[in-house]
Amino acid sequence: MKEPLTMDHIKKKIVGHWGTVPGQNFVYVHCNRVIKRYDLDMILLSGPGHGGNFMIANTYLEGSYSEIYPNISQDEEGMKKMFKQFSFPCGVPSHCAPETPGSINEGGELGYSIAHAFGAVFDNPDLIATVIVGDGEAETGPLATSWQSNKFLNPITDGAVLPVLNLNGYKISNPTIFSRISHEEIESYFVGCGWEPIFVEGDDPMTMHKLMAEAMDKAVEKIKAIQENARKNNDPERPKWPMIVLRTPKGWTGPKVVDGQQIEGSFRAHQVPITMEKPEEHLALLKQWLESYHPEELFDEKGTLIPELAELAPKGDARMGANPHANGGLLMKDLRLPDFREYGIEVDPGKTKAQDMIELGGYIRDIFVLNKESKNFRIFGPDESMSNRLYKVFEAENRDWNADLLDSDDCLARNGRIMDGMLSEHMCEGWLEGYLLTGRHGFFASYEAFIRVVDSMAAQHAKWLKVCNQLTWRRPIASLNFILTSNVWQQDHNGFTHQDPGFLDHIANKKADVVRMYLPPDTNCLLSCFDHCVKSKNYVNAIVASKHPSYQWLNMEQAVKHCTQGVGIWEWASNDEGQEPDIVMACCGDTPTLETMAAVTILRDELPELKIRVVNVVDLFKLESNHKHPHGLSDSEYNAIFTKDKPVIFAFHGYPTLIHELTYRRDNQNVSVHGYQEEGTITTPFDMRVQNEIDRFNLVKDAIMHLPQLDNRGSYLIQKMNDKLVEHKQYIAEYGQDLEEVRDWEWHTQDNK
Amino acid sequence: MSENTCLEKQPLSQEMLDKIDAYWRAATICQPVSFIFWIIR
Repeated sequence: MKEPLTMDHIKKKIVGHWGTVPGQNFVYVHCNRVIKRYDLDMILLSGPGHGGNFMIANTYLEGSYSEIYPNISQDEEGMKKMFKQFSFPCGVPSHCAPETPGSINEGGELGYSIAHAFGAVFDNPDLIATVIVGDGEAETGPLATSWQSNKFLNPITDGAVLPVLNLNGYKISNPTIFSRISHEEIESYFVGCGWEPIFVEGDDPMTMHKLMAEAMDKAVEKIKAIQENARKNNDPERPKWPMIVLRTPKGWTGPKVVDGQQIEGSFRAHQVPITMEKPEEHLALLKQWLESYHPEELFDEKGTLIPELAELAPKGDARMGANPHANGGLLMKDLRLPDFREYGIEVDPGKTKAQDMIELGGYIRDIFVLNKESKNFRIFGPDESMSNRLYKVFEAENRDWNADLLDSDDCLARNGRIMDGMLSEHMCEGWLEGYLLTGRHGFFASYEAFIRVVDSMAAQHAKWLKVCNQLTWRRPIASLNFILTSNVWQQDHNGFTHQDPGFLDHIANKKADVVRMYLPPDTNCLLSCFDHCVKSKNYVNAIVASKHPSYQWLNMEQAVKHCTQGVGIWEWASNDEGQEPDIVMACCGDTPTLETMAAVTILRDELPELKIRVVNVVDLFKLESNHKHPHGLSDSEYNAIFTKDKPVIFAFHGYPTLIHELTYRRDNQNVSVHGYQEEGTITTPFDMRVQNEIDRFNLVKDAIMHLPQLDNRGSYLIQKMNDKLVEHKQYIAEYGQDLEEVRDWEWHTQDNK
Repeated sequence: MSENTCLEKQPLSQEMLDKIDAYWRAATICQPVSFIFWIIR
């Protein structure tokens, strides 16, 4: 403002979201006051998404931004750079992105702020997470259900979440629902959700500052009183936690009218309120707008905030831009882990049966035991931990639950660490992300089909990690681990709706630096994979696991070698050693492995001269080129396993296109992939495989048809397989279970029947 | 800063409210400038 404004000062492309920022600045400055007044440990999550520069501005004013980015110094030179870089090529994003100090919730995709906040305060008894909830955001499904998170908060061992619902009245071009219902309806709604709403409503700044200061004092004092009572009297019962409903005009303090249209207090304030299409008129309006803040009273000649105002900000780590909880890797301690090998099972390959998830549960149980003092490990799932066969974890821990308890309840407790009491994938995912982002550990066990509910959340987290990997000041955090069980291939009483392996396709498209996918074929491999994932940092790991009684293949020593390599020839199941194989029978996933092994027994029994190589894939990204994924095999390594040209019959857990996508640049394109073809219903496990042509009979048929050298020698075996398929259909229609030869199948060779 | 001199620890005063408002204005003016200005001379 040192010289007259001209169009030379104006960005060629004007972008930004003004409407939400005055309200968010308002909350930030009032948080600063209570942090100092009550010596609080507080972080701030911005739910509205756009307007991320409010957090940049506030962390800049408090000094934390310049400490991380010294080029953005607290003077005129730094200020120029800060203004130019915002939403500008080679600059910084428009949301509270990973680049923004103090942020753990980017907000580009709306709805996750409260869930992230609860995740942040679990096991952080002294932390308060203030959450600005946009009234548009409040209409999303995840945000709407996240108000119920207070039923999972323990006032003794957890911190507090202070939601501030900012009713500025509008979204992009529509009003918001909360802003068009009565005060009484809003109050009833939140009281019904277990909150004590405190209203701050108005548009006169000085009146509003007083009301907000009093509301923040009331809320903080209420939180402290709840916690003091709970901790002094060992009373974990659910209190009425306070929240604030802040009703302010959209684009508050901005231009009132531009080109004859109302801006402040209307949806037109959503983005940039003055477009500069009429330079003379709009420059005057802009000047008037900027001068209304009286910058000459706020900054000195060098462009630095005057000391009388700078002293309002908290100091050191108390500043919300410097709070270590918002850079969780600074606080993260590695888990103490038992030796997973001790949880392995004895295996007679293809004869022993076990339930992989039950065995894994024993290992996880002991993670709880070893980390009891650290209180830095939780598991998350939408009411599925029992169904997913994690029975053994309940020997050490309970489910968290802070609503009413009945005598008939099972394993519910006020201080449980198994977060499966809420049937919401969104909450499980959001809580877990918040828990990880603040430096702790955990995993999400889900039915495979319904992890799709949080596809987008997983994608947003993968994006966050991708950016964090480029920021040296963001310390690594524990990986986001998914265990996808109750998978597509066995849904005896759930049916078609529960059959969807597409999460793998979704993850496969994310940045290679961040994503990993593992499909262990048996218990010992699952233990090895899980141990690897729970130790890893800054990844999104997806493990697909079986929960039903299933065949076991590798002893622990073999499993460790196999999983370490991620893909390998099972020499004990192959008969091509020292020779060129006629065919490669490849498999990935527990059920495809079973059917491949069963097909191999048929082929070896019927065509003993056939040279068969059995390949199992655990680490799916091994199939991709090492030029595209750090786990990928080089072409020579790939050819050494899959050959350059021999037919590969590949049985895959998921959709076949994923294997084609991962291998499309490999030398060997003679690959026939069998996978899920979107066929399913309530039927027997083997019939699911038949319907999708991943069963042993169809695999044998396909193998023969890929071996022209057999001529007519294969014809009778094809006929036999066709007959078996008819026999199978007739049998299950009559008896409701699979053929005896399928149920009682065991791995064998000609020498060992 | 001692308890006695820290303004935040005192009962809410007009001086505190004025400073809060000024700090808020300082944060808020950064937004339109960030949107619109590509250089300030």
